[in-house]
This record gives sequence, C-alpha cells and structure tokens, in this order.
Amino acid sequence: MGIEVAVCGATVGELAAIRGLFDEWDRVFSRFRPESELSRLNRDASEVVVVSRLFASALRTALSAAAATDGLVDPTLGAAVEAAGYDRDFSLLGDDERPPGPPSPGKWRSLRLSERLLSRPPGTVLDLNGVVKSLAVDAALQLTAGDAFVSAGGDVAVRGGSVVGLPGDGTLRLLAGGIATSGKTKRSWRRGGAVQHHLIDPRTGRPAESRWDEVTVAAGSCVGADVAAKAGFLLSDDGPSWLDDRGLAGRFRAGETVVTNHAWRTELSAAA
Amino acid sequence: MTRIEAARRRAAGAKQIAAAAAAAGFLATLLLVRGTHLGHAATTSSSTSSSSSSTQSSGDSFDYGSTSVAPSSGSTSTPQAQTSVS
Repeated sequence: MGIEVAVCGATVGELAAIRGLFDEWDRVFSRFRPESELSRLNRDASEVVVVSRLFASALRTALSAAAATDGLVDPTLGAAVEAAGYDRDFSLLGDDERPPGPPSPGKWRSLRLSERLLSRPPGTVLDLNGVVKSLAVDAALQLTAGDAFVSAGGDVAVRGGSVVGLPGDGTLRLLAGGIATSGKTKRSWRRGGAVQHHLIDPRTGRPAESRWDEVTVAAGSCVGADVAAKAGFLLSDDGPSWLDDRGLAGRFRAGETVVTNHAWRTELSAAA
Repeated sequence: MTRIEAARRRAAGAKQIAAAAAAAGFLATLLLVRGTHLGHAATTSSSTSSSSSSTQSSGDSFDYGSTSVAPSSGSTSTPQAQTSVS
C-alpha cells in the first residue's frame, strides 16, 4: 500500500500474520499494481464479474458507507481521481501542465453486488481506498489477542487504550476503536496550473472545495472514523454538526485554526 | 364359488384398486403441493439471501460505533501512535 505500518502489543506470530494481511490486501486493492484484482476488474469490459470474497466484503462495506453518507464516500471515483492527475503511485507524481481530464461524478447506486457477483455500468472505475486502508487496520488488530494498536498511514485502531498524537499538536487517549484523519495537505499536486488533491467530491467529480485542511475523527472502529473524517471534510462548514448528529468527536484544522465539535469538546476539553 | 360370491370378490377387488388409486392420487397431489411450496420457499429464501447480501440503498448496515476517548495527561501524554493525513 506504500504506507508505513506500526504495530504494538503483537506476538511474533501475530506480527507475521499482520504483515501477510497487508501484503494480501495490497495485491487485491492496489490501483497501481496492474495485476491486482481491482486493476483487473477495472479493465474488464464485462458487465458482470465474479469478485473474491475479500473484494466483495470490502465493497459491501464501501457501499454501506456510501449509503450512510448519502454518497459522500463513494467507491466509484477511480476515473475522477485519475482525471485529476493521480494516475500513478504518489511518489512518482510531479507537476503536469496538462489540464485535468473531464470530471466524473460518483455513481455508487449503479453498482449491484449479490454475494460475489458484481454488475456495474460500462466504464465504471472503482477505487476502494476510501475504506480499504482503515478496514485493513481494523482487521489487523483482530489478529492480535491482547492489548495492542495498529497504525497504517495515519489510521489507528486500538484495544486497551493508547495515547495518540494529533495532527499539528496535542494528544488524546484512544480507549478503544479507531481514529483517522482525512485531508488535502499530503496528497496534493499541480495539474494544469492548479492544485489538485485526492479527495474527490462525488457531486462534482472534482477535488473537493472544503474550508478544511484536515479532519480527525474518533469512532468505534478505524473504518468508522475514516468514513466519518472524509464525510466531515467534504461537508466543509457542515462537517462539525454532521458528526455531532452521529455522536462522533471531530477536530477540524484550517491553517492555524482548529475547530472542535461538541462531542470532541465534551470528551476532551483538556486536549482540544 | 357361486356367481354372487364371484361378483362380491370382483367388487371388493375393484374397491381396493379404487382406494389404491385414490391414495396414489392423494399422495401425488400432496407431493405436488409440497413441491410447489418448497420451490416458492426456495425462491423466497434465495431472493431473501440475495437481497440481504446485495447491498443497496440502505445505510442502516454501516456502523460508525461510538467515540471512546479521554484526555491524555502527565507522563502518559507521550504518543504511542500518530494519526495523520495519509
């Protein structure tokens, strides 16, 4: 996945299993490995394809997240993120004077998944990175028996409590569940003279215009936190109240300005 | 055997044949009805299972869980993990 994975509290055997999990998930879900299941599926012109159990499970979660966020977190934005210029591993991305490709709004409702049978309209390009990394972190934690944490690319899942550093400054104690941060400060590049980033607004098919640079959410699982953080970012000014409506603690950064929602302030008044 | 006794024997045999045919007919009907219900049930269960595993518009199945955090303080405030934009 091209990310750093940190594990604490795992036995040698558990660590090996976690390493194997991340290797397997990368082989299945990588957008940049031509032989990955995702890449092969996106090249397949058939309307109906059979997917692996792992792929079906992740896609099912992605579709549930899309429904829960009213389409904000959408697994059909592969074409949109490529049109914005993110068409290769981020380490290989440089400034490109060519204009971005045509926008490609989300269309998650057009997918039909029944057991392992997936049907999608021609030309649909899936990208499950909205949930895969955080799902993998949750799954990796399940491979440990005792108190532990797993961290991958800034997504963290904890059992037994761990102190977690926050973007910019500050810490909190995550007692259980997950914490994730979504934003545009890291994966951004220039295309056609304008700054692009990887968080696509499914309503426009373009990189989202949000007042936030980063949004951090703590939830009952890492994937729950990740989905909520993305939604909070995409909702811009409405993000804090949206999280409060769901009882989720959120921290929003815009430059040097930090805004916390009611749930965050209630639980962490000393750490906000 | 008198002709009456022969006739009674023929009647008794006819009754047995008729009873057997009726029973067979009833059994055939019973199997047909049961088979129909099973097919319907199979159809129902397969459609139910396909709809339950076919994730569509309902967002009810996605569970964010609940936030479980506390302030960190004192000597325990050194972070063990770090959340950041990836």
